[in-house]
Amino acid sequence: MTSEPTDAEAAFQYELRRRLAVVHATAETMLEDPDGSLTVDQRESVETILAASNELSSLVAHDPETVEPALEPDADGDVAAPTPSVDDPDRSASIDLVLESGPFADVLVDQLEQSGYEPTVVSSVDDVRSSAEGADAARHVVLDWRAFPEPSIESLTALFDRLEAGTSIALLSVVDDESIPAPVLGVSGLLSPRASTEMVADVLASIHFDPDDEPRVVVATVDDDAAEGRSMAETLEAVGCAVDTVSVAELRSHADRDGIDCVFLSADGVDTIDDATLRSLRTPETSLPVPVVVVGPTPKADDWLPVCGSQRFVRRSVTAHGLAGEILLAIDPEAES
Amino acid sequence: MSGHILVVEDDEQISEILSYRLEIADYEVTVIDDGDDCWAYLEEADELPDAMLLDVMLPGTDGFGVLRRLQRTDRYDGMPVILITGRGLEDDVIQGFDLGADDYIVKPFSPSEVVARLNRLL
Repeated sequence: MTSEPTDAEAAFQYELRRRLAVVHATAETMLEDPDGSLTVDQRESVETILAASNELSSLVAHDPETVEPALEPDADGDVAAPTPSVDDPDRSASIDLVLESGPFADVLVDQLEQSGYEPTVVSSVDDVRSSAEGADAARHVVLDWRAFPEPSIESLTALFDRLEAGTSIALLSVVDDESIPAPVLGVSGLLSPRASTEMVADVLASIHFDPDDEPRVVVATVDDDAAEGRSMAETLEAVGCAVDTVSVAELRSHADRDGIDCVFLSADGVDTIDDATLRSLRTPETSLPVPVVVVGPTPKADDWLPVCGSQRFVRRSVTAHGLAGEILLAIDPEAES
Repeated sequence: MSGHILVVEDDEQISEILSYRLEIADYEVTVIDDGDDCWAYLEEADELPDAMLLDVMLPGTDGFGVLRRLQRTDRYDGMPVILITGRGLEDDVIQGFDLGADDYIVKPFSPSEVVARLNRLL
């Protein structure tokens, strides 16, 4: 068990944390700049500053974020040792990271280990521990989109099929300049076309829309799944949304013309939508990014499969600390942290 | 997500960054840099903030003192409080939760994580 720091050490840690907070938060905020005003060189410099602040943060020992809130003294007056936040003994603590090895993966592993999880960096999607391995199956998977030999929505769905029910995924990608290599980048999640009105209302709430505000939603389909699109449009109207149904080809001009809050995109539409339209949704010129929900078959009868970490649709560099926080919330959103 | 967040933080640079990030997330933000002023603000407010981000080390009444006062009055029962602090001691964490804090974030923090935790509480 780690010993308590002396008063001098605690004072030093306090001062260090205080100043690191400014460096870390400022660097992260600059990287999240939705205007994209940083040049590539400037962005790399800020990323270097952020990586250095991450390393310094890891030197500040005794991180209390792993402490459970309800530590009570026992009969002898002793307080139990801090327990990790892996709160369910029946659930695996394994997290598989399909990432390139490097400083980002190192910091992420360190953060997850501090919270009591057992992260493992694996080299390919095939190495992800699935339900076949039973108790060792990954509880959460962090996946670099580029790890798929042929990135597509089908590849992602095939991975979902292999995973144990309840395993969540954080999907990452890298955007080189203006190209967007991942069709699912920025998607909030997959929603079954048969989802109930209650489920759809919950999904809207999860992406921060209150049906009482009558959000303006566009349902975009292609010919092959127009019927499913109409069905989803009826469900959305039933929960109070103002709904326009358009073809995927019409989506770009529709998005440009009208202020819309959210797009429900058919699964086939994901494969046909063009990058420019996706960009116009992720980084609109005059409004906040527009969330995209993919409507399509969901495996294992799950109605809604949120894609962790994609609530924002602008180009941004995710930090290892930020991602660790989002992963922990995805694994256990109800935890009293 | 929309709502009114009270940020109680005496470091101007940190409160500026938090305000900037919260406003991007569509929150209305009020910043106060003193524990006594925070209490006075809450006492005089006709409408309470939807949540509070509270630094522990503050001029005037410290964050724990503010929490103690909140605990004594039913009026504040429904207002979530997240402690954000540079103090890294386990006892501080336990004390914060004992005094009714809903969450605890240690500096240095990720602004995105702060927003995610707020969204979860609201």
